[in-house]
Amino acid sequence: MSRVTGNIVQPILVRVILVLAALWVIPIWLAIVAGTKTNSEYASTGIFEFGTSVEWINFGMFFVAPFNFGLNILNSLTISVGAVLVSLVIAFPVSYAISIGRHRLRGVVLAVCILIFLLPLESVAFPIYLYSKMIGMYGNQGFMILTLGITGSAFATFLLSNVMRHVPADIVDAAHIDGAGRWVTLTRVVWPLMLPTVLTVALLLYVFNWNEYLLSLLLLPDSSSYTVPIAISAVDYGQRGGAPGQLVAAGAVLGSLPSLIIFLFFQRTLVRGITAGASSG
Amino acid sequence: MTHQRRGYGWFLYPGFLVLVIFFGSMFVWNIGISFLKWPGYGPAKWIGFDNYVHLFDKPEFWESWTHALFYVVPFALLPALIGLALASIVYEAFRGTISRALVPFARAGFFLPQIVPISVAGLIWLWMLDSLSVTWLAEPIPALLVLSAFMFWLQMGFAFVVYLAGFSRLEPALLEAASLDGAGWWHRLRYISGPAVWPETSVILVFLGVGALKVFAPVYYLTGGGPYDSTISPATYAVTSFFGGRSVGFASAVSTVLALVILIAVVTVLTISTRLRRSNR
Repeated sequence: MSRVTGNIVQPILVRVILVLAALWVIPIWLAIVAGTKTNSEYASTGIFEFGTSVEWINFGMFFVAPFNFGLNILNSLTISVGAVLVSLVIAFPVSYAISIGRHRLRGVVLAVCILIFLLPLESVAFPIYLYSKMIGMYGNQGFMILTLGITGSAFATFLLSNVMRHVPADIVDAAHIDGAGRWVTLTRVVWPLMLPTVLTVALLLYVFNWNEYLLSLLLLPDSSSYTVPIAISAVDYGQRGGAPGQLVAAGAVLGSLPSLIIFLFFQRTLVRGITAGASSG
Repeated sequence: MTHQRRGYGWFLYPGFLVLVIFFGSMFVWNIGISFLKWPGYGPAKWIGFDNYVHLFDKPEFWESWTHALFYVVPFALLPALIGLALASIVYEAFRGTISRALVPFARAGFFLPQIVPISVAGLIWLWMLDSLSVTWLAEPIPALLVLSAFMFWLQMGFAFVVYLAGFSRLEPALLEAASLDGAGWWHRLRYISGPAVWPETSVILVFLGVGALKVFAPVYYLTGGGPYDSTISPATYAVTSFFGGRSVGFASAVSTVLALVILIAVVTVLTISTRLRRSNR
């Protein structure tokens, strides 16, 4: 294929693309550079220059009062993981019924899931907020987990059922002939086969949940119940004359670190999930 | 195979009903609130379509929709176009064994903004613009342009990654043959690889186009809709009306209009694309 683009053009193109990709990372890179500087270094050096050493205290100060960032991370972890479990508990049996069972409501279920996924969350968020107050669950983490979990189950059903469709009918038939009921077929045959896809979906939902902002904004009012994205956006900056720049940068790095780590380890899985959703749509 | 279609209701209905009842009731509730004159507490008064009449008189409402239509360009069209071009270059140019190993780096770079919480990304951009002494966010048109750049930066990676996966379906020999026949990069994209990834294009355009109309977080966390409402979107208008405590009924009317517009847009696009597909056969 090197003949296609020509031997001279190709290395240039490769470099251009890599430079562009690097450009895309620059904002986050700059935040890392600034977040590791001391206050005086921050004032005296350019934004592309590293400080002489890593100023760990910039990060450390977020873990004590008034920020108590550790608590926000714990909140985000609990909510993200809890909601992923809720989504899977709802989505897996539904996908099983419409993909393996070929339930007659298959088309309806998929249409509803796509619609829920495409409609703005704002068109249900206000009643959810009012409902939480009505039943005394305002600020309750469990309520947030359920809400987020149900929301995510629409996307999970869509993705899971798209992959589950390709489980060969012969395998399911063989299980039935061997006397396995629908429940045993689900737990012993389909679940193990689907495990890689389940993990992909779980990881995607986890990242979505971690980055969720609107429901967190509406349902979790106290700073002690804040999730990471909300806590970070509460680090005032700019017009309101809040924290000094290097601390803002350090906070931003801390806030993106959990997602970045997941991304570095599971890049392929995440991308596979995204593209599976897109190419089967 | 009839035995496969029976008895799966137990797997389908519990989860599906939770999903439908939860979203359905909240959606209907939201529409119900939009007919009320209600500040969010105390007695409510039924006022019929007054909130909507009031809404259509507001210049902010029409501005938010003008912006929403404009955001389709940096949020959907440009990411799709540039994402397609970059993906096709990467697909064709990264062929040698060394270059091939660089693909994950390019992909990771472009995809990174999709992973970071938008509140954090917004904070980083605010901080970065401030460090570079760029004060564009203080003026209406420049603020709109910076916000557009932010949206493009956020969404391009999604289109890029989806297209890259789409290209992997292509037969390399086909492109090679075309280039031997004298077809340049543009012609190969125009007549071979472009049409081949049409399914990806439609998914990206529907998904990101709808995303642009209902955009909330990028606007909320970068400009907050300002300066002077010059960047508000329908979703931020709904949420700020809700939080502003002016009227919960009014906020619900704003979000109901948003949901209806998206519903109509999605149904129209799906109908047209199904018709086109049928007539092409």
